[in-house]
Amino acid sequence: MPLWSNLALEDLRDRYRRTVLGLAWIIASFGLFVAVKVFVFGQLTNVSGKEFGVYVTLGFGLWTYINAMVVDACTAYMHSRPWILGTATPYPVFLLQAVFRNWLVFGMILVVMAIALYWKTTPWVPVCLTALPALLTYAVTSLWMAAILAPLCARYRDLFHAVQTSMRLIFFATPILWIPSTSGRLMLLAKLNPISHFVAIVRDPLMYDRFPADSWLVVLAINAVGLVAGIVVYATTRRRIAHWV
Amino acid sequence: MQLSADHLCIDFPLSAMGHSTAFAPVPGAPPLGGRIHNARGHSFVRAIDDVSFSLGRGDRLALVGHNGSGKSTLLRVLAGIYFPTSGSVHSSGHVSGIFNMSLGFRQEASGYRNLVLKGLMAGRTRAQIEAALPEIAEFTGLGPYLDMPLQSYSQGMAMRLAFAATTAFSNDILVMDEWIGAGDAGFQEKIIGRMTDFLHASTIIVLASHSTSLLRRIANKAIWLEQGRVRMAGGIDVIDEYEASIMPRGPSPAIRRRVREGHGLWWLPSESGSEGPGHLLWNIADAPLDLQLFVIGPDGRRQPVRNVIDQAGAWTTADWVRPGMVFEVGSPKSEQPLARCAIP
Repeated sequence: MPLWSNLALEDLRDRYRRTVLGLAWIIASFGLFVAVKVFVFGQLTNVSGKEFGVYVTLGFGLWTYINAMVVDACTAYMHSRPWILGTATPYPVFLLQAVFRNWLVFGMILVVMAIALYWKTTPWVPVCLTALPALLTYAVTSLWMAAILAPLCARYRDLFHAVQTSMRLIFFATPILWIPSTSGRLMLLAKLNPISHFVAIVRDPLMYDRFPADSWLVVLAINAVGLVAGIVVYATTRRRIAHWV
Repeated sequence: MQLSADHLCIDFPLSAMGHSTAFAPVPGAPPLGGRIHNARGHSFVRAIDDVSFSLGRGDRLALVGHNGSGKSTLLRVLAGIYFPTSGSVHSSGHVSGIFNMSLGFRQEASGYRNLVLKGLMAGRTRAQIEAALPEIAEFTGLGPYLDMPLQSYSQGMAMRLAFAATTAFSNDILVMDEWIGAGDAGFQEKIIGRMTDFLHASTIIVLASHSTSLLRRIANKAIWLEQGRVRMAGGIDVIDEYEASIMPRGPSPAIRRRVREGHGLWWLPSESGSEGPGHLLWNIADAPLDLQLFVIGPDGRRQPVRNVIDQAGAWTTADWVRPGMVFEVGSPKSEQPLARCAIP
């Protein structure tokens, strides 16, 4: 296994070492969150309990990854300060470490999401499989986002707090606990929020057997711009990161 | 095999400069830190200023200097952690750095797991690490503790693990900062023994330490840094010079007061009744920056005694000073001394 995956694994082990449940805490806390959300917000919606349960499990599972990844992307360099100042390890190791660590957690949440699909209200059709390449774009997006956020947050420490705060707000602006089709204003909000498109390319084919072409366009466009920006930011900040962290 | 630096400069950006009224230097105190300069509206500390050297097979270079003189920064540039602002570093292979003994160690993981991680960090494959593990385990002398989490180790034990792991997985060129002085006496001997092995393996070592006795045993070359500049470079006699400069028997406040009051170069005998050495004092107004203290040798030629001196200062005379010797203060560029004094 390469270095970055070992470091990521060790991060997770450190987090749950000497706990009885260990990594099962990830599944337990996610499951409890979803259960409470379905119980409370299910009262406020007119769709069936089954459908809303799957909707929230998928949406919140994806959101959990996106939120954790964005916040971790900010600290990818800061978190590795002693390594950056103590070894000449190439910086992409720290970016890959942050992405892989989040995928390890996401992997366990994906298991819960897969189980929730047992209650899927629509039949299984080939278009459902487009959720898999959609998950692949998550990995790509995470990498260039870390390449952008990690150096900028190390240089401008306020940015990290700004990102953290905005993510908390964006949660409510993303169709996870509410369904866009219920009102025109919510529909507009979902259209303007880029994260709702990231959620849609995984959730729509699984829930509604529908291929969200417009959301895919948005996601691919963001990735095209982001990849270039990621390379530019990485290359221009590389020489000064040791002074910033 | 070679490691060389060519007119190396490193600037650290200063994000916030406070009020600069507190920057007046303390008279007689050693200069600390790099010089602060401004460029393009930003303030920088020049941590390394025009440092050049070249090391070949089997060279072991010692870096000495006051706190903040640039030793650690220089080592980090050599190890590829900081990028030079100008100038360049050339090395024939990968440079391993040992800077922080707790670096890369997981407090909750076992000693063995930490060794594996350290090996991966150094770019070794799993198989290479497994092959090296028994020897490392023996070198550390930690025995059953290797299966316990690192947090149960004492600091000295953690250091044993760190040193063993880092040197086992290091490359041919090694830079080390400061911590070889740690550990108990028995382990220090092991460290020096391993250093000697490195010597036989014809590696290049650059190390910084305040422990001059350790440096003398390991090094064959030395550089004395001050404010990021090379104050003196050469063999291990540089370490002697540095040690002499930091001796507590430097100029006393009474002598510094006399320096301020006088002018030119003059002899101050030891106080009546005490057996100590005398002092040469100088205070030269409008002196050039490259001031040196010379002694006139028996062949009539002048020899430098102090390569870099301030325009006002004192020198506690060495054992070899005899009555009748003539000293001069002047610039190496000019034959004409600025001041001259004979020992009565």
